[in-house]
Amino acid sequence: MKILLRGVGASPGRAKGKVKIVLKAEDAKNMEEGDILVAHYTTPLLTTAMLKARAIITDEGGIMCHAAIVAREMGIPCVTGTHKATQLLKNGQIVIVDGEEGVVYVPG
Amino acid sequence: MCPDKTLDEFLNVMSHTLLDVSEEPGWRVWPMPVFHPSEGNFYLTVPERSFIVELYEHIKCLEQKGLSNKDIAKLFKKPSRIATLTFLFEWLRRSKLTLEQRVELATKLLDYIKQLKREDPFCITKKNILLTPDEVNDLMRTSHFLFVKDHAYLHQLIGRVNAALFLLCEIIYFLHHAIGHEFHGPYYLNDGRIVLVREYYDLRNTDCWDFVRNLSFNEFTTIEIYKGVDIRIDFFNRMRSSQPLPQALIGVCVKRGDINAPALSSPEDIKSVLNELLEVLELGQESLRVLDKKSMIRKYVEVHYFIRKPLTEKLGVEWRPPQEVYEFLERVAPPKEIAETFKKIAQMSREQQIEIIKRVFDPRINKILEA
Repeated sequence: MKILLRGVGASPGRAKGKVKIVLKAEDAKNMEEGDILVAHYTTPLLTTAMLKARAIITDEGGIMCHAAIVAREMGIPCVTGTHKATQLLKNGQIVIVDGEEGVVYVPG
Repeated sequence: MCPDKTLDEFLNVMSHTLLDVSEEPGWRVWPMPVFHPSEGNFYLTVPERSFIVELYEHIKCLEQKGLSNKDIAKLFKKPSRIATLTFLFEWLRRSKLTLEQRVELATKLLDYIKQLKREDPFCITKKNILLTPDEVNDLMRTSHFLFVKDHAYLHQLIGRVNAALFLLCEIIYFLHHAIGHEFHGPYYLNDGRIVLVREYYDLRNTDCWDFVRNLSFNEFTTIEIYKGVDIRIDFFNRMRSSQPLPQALIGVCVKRGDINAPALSSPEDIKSVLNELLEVLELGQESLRVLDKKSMIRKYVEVHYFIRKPLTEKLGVEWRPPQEVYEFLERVAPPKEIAETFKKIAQMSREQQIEIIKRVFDPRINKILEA
């Protein structure tokens, strides 16, 4: 597995899934159950996207930011503070999120 | 209750709690940029000054009607809702109240919190204790629990339900989401298990939002049993845990109502609640999305005023902000110095920051920079 991104491990666990980049609320409309939510940071405007996510990756934030709090409530992995996840990742790309180590991998 | 001792104790907790949060990376973008803490606080400045005077008058009227501190505390429903009002201590000195009245109001609000708790009113020990050991034992004996060992996906389901309810509180009450929830515990059982109670209330708040109109419940309660996890709850009802709670969940009792409501009997029942919540959240998110910044600020101020509704209802007066508050919100914008001041304070040592926060929220001091 190749390391694609490093950030802060904000909610432990590992999940594999399809990237869905959400830069504005409208982008969240076609988020599917089990997608990996990728955003600058999360807000209440991304509520339903967060609840569908298998894991969350954000550019900003840390161990106790909004995304981390929601991910820990749900018990799903979360990597925050990657600085460039929304730039590096592509919609539909398959990634593995390690919320313990704070790392995003490309499988294979 | 000794006013000076109580206020000193509160100011110590307030300063440390606020500072702990501000040192957590990411707090500045939480929960949404329009409500950066410095900006959100600014929009409450003038409203707060009238709010404070009216709140003082309402309390005096209720006392004249014969209500005790405990009676008034119960009108607010839950202690963490009152704790959100302690942010207004910052504006007390700019209100029309005298020094004695300011101290009296602040001390009363802190006493209301104390009246609704069993110990440690300011959560110094990071516990929020509302039930006695006997009440906890009764709750354990009379509640119908579902266990993770019998239902493999229960922990995930409860995690999603709690996340959905938290997010619903955030849409309804913005930054002050604790207006809509009281998380209490951890309560330790003799066998090492830990109980956490989460009470959500005023969820069908049609006074402030239309999207919740069809929500089939106004209150929701979960009684959760854990093992091997450290749970901490602060004065503003923010919860932290040593690991994500779904991973340590053993069992749960779920009630579509208050703590005395009958329990849901199966994970399928809980799943149907989650589906309902998802539908309501979809509507809530859309209601939020279509608001422009001015409308969102008006709403933010309104939900703050909503806290006083049970008191005003008892007195037969209006709970909503007066017209001049809306006019103020229309014509002002936060001065740029606010963000600059925040930055400067952030560069100071922790001790200096604590002293500043204490002075900001101390109703006994006339000027923050005095002395």
